[in-house]
Amino acid sequence: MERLIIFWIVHLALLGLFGLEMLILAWIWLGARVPGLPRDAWRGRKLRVIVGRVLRGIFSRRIGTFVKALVLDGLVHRQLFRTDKLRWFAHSAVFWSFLLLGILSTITGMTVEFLNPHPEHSQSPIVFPIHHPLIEAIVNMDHPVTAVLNEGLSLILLLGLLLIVWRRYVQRDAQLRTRGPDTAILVLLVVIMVGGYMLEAFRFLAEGVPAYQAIFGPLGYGLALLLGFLPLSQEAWGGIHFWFFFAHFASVSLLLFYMPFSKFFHTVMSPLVVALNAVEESGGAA
Amino acid sequence: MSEVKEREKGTRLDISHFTGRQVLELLACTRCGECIQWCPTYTQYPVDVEAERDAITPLDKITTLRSFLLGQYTGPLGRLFGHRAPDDAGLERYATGAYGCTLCGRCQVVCPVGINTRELWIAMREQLVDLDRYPAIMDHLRETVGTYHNISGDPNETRTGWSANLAEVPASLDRQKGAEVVYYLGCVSAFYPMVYSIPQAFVPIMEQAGVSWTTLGGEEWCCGFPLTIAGMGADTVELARHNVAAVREIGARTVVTACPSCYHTWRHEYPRLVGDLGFQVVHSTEFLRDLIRAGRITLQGFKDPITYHDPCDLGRTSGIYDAPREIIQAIPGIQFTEMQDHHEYSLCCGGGGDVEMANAELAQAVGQQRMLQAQETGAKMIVTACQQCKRTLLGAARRAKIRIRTIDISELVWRAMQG
Repeated sequence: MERLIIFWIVHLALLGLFGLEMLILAWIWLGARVPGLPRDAWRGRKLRVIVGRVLRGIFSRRIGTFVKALVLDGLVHRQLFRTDKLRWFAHSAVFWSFLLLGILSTITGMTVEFLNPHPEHSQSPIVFPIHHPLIEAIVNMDHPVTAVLNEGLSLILLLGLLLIVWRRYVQRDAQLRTRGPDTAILVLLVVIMVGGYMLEAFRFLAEGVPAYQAIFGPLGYGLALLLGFLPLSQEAWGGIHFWFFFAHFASVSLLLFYMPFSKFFHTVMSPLVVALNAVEESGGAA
Repeated sequence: MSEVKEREKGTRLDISHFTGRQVLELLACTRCGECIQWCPTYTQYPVDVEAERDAITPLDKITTLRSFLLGQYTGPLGRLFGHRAPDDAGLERYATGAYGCTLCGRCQVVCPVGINTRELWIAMREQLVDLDRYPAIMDHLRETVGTYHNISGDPNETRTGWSANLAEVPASLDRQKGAEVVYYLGCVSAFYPMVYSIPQAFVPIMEQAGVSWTTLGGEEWCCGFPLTIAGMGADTVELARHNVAAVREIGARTVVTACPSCYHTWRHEYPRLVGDLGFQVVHSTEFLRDLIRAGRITLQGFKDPITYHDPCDLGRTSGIYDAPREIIQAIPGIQFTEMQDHHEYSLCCGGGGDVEMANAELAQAVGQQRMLQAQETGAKMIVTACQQCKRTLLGAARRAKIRIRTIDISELVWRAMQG
């Protein structure tokens, strides 16, 4: 079966599982007390009240406070910047790179399947081919811009991870409490990032990407040059690339599966809570 | 942790003890550990019981509760990720953490997410009370307040006992109808001779300033704060209704108290419990500041170098930092130095969160730490604006043999008025 067909089937199934986990969290959350309602109020009633309050908040002046805090404190993390610049850099490097790589991957996936100027490379039954330099760049992983973006962001992420690992396991800051779940998340992230570079190198070897194109992914290309010394045929590299693609995909999926029930979920929740706190401090009901 | 109640103990958490916001906050904790180094009880907890000590940290309490909830509500899926539903051992450890906290709220100040920790700790205690997993001494507190309407167990009619040493007992002392101001003493000032000096200073100031005032006498009941923070907030409603009705009967327009915990309860909890009060509630620091601003009292001066201790419930919980400092700066010739930790970063005295009841040594250790900070400033006196802080710091200074006197800001003002 085609690699991308398997990918999409499994990916959609895992997204469904992720959605189920989010629903479970929402169900737990709606069991909590909502100020102004009886403690034993029905979950549907709570949801209605919360949606109403959110909508009223969106269409009020408080939205400015919310957005400002969301950006400055939830996303830019100015408090952490004031506390410790190195920690801020490590956190931002991981957070922003991971977020941007996720967005880039989603855009690439959607573009390849639905807007591909070469519809024969799409697995989707419905394609609207668009011939535009931007679309060409997105669907071509070896395009200089796409390659530099992917590799650059991955490198920043890896640098951030190394700083975090150094602080947690080498420097051992007194305030840190490293437990299994902390290690699990870091291991997963490192595996994903290192795996990404290896996958890129395998692809260079499997597809015989010429040096003038591969050079825009310097780390992957360097790795491919090293691996190239192994006595393997291009076809063999193709097989390795096929299976490694699924190994890499499995590690990303595992992170997605683990995320809602792990500390990694703070990447989603903490900006929201920071913004809600700001609204409350400004005098509004959050 | 001190002896925990032995009764039917549950293990199933009721998530409705927590607000939706608090559940989001549990999920938002980044486990950065910033809170740990600022936690006064963690830093003073005996290091030879590391596991128990760790249970006190804000980080551990949040992580534990999150894991309990995910373990309880998600079954095998949660277990797959290492979350376990609460059990006896887990809840015992969790209760140690929840009741080993002074509720000082410093963790909230340094939390990069701004988790409203103080309210979260109180909700945790409510949950533990619901499961009958709280220090047995809290039952004694509940019974005492329920029976005597104060925390000491003395007959409530003796609430004005501190006035016996006044040069002249004011005629308006006990429930004078029509008085503009009701001076709400709070249980500590009313029943602990160690701090009688606070009302004994505050009353003459009001007299000299020509304030129309009275007290609720034997009709002053405990404000309910100790019960609220013990996780027994439901018992506060009756106390709130009684106290508010007593003030309304006097017809006063203002309630003033020198106790930050009472102040917070009257100002923020009572309106939630009984609706609009119909009168204003101020802390003694705001009241004295206004008297100074209005020129109703004249400060002559004060010789000894001083420092100021921000009470947690006045500063972090109620946001009052400037009023006491304005009073201090208004005293001619005052030598005032801030301690290493001040304003929102102020170190707790150890007297909050009912910790003193469950673990007196821990409370003393925190207080000693604060007195050492005071000593570093070269001050001869540490001024505070809380009767409980004064009591705790006095005890800490005595135990640590630190020769710094602790006085309330009312006493400072009264002495400064006399020159």
